[in-house]
Amino acid sequence: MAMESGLNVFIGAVTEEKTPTAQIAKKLLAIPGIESVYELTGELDILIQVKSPSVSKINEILEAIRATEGIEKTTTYLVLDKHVKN
Amino acid sequence: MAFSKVLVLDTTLREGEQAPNIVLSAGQRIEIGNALSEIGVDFIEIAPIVGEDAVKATKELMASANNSKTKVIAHGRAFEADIDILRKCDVEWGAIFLSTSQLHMTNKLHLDEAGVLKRAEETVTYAKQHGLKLRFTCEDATRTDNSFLRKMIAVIEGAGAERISITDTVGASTPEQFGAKVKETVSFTKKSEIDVHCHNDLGLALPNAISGLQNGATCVHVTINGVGERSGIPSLAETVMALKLLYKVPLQIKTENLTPLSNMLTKFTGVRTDPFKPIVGENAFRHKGGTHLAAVLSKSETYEVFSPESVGNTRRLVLGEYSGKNVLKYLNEALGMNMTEDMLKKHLKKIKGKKGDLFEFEL
Repeated sequence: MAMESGLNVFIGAVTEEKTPTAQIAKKLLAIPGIESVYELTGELDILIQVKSPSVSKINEILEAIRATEGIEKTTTYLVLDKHVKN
Repeated sequence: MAFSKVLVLDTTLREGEQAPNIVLSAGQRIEIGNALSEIGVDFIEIAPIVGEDAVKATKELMASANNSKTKVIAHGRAFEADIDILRKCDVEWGAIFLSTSQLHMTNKLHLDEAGVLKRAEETVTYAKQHGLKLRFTCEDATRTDNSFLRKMIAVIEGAGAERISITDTVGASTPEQFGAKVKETVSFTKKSEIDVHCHNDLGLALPNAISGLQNGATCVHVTINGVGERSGIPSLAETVMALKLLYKVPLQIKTENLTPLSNMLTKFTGVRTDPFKPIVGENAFRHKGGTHLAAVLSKSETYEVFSPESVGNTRRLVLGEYSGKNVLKYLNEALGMNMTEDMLKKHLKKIKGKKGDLFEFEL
């Protein structure tokens, strides 16, 4: 197994009802380091994928996400391993 | 043993370019030369005799070195034609070399002792007549009989050479032998100073060079990443850090530039350094063992003799079957993941079930 370089995390966010999620997603994508943003159904409204070489950089991105208007709460999920179809 | 003084000469642009696949354009030579000047080495050695590109690079380095303590030294063979090329580059310092061991004189130069002494005297005199400060390199000095070395030094010093380089050309000395050679050579000299140029064929280049400095030499030859003929010579990074940290030599070198400089050479040449290379290698600050990681996260000095920041490198932690527990606990807190003890245990079990390392990251 080849060792991956850097941290790969998903950040789940719950948003305020008054702000459209598409509008929040657009703002989130402007934050450097955010790879992709998904709008979801279910307990989480938005899932954000972040890749970075360092913990400190991920924390900077987390702070920027939490400071984004419409974000109510976040939870961080660390990717331990990835499986893809060949 | 004490050091009298220590000058650092980087010869990446001469010795380094004699290594396979180390090929640099004029622009890259200038970029490396400027970076060496910025880091603070005392001499940059370059070989303008290899072609017009190298002449151009030498001239440009001379122009940009005007405001720096770093001196450019142009290297060639002990021929008047080579000295003419060095002069064309407007350098203050030149360096010429000639073999002094019986083996080299017989098999390479096809000259006897008198012929070698004559050529040395004529070429040094020619260089001095044309205003160059000069270093004369006794090639294969460690396999040269001391009585002949004494004669050679009398001749080249008499002709005006300011510096004499003592070489372990094939890396065949022990530190004790090399130190003794330098000590003996110093005793032959009247006013010239000694350089040490040690090859790494048996992995002893740096200890040999340090032994030479402890025995009276005042200038050590190095290259970025230790590149050079065959197994190369001491690396700039290892030499500087060993001298500063272990021998307390007050070198004025910007050590935080060491890893970026190593990476610059790799980028220009495509020749990657061994991950286990001290100071600048990918593994130099990569921690994996569980107990090591816990200790490093608590106090980095536990497993680091100097910080990665001090040499421009990066500390990395590896998450895998060896290190899961401590790294996962650290990440849980650092990223505010709020995993409970039960969740941590569950995930650790998953990690332990996988073979090898999953990923690495910086703090």
